[in-house]
Amino acid sequence: MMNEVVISAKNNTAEVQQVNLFQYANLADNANATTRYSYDLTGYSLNEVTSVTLSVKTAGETEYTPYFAELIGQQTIQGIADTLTSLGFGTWFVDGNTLNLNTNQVIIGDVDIVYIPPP
Amino acid sequence: MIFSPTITITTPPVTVSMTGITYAEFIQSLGTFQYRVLQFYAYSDDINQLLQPINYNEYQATGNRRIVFVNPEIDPFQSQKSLYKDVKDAGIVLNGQSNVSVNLLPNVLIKLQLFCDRVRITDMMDSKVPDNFKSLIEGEVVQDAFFGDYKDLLL
Repeated sequence: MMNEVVISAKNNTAEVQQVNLFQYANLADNANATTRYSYDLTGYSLNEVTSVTLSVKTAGETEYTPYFAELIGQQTIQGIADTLTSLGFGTWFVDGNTLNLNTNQVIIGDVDIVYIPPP
Repeated sequence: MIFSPTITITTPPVTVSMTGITYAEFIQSLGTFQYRVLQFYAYSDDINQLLQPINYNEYQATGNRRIVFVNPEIDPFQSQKSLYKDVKDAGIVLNGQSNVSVNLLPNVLIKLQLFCDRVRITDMMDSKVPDNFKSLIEGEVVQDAFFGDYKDLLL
């Protein structure tokens, strides 16, 4: 049966946004998400970043589950945002020194930025 | 170093809407219906948005992933902010285990009109036995058989 599907997506911000459309029950499908998590990284040196841990829980759970993302050659806030995007929890974007995430799908907790010294 | 979030309720950075039904309703329908995209029409209020690639990502339960890059081809001298693209051979199917990823430029609207074949599992039954009740009525099961005199009561 021939069918037409008409969809509109509007970016309401001054930054480029990546949006995933048409995915059923996808954590990255954060279109129309209204909850924003902001992490102020002002004053933090990014020269020593090697990995990021993100704590996540769904509604109803009591404890956060940590998710680990490795940074390879990423020493900017945008690099951290790109790395965290790979975890699939919402879409990250950078505004100045602040990391921002928009999602309605899960509850996001702390971000742990870690430097592991070489042996 | 641990950073705790500041949580705020904001205007959605990306607003997605559909014509006729809500976006959430359409997403829910993917459990029953599947859409094979044959062609799409894209319109934007910024012509640069049309140059942004549209990525189709398909996942399988086994973890395999297939990505199709749909590169828009627009005439560099065209002034219209719209294009038609034939994707019949790209194998783009909206079945709930796939998504269409778009980079949205700042403050830009994009409208996608997808021309699709819509199928559902029960369509298969219709194609196999398109007139199963008709043949039941006119066939020997009811019409000419033991219950023939009672067919009006039975059906």
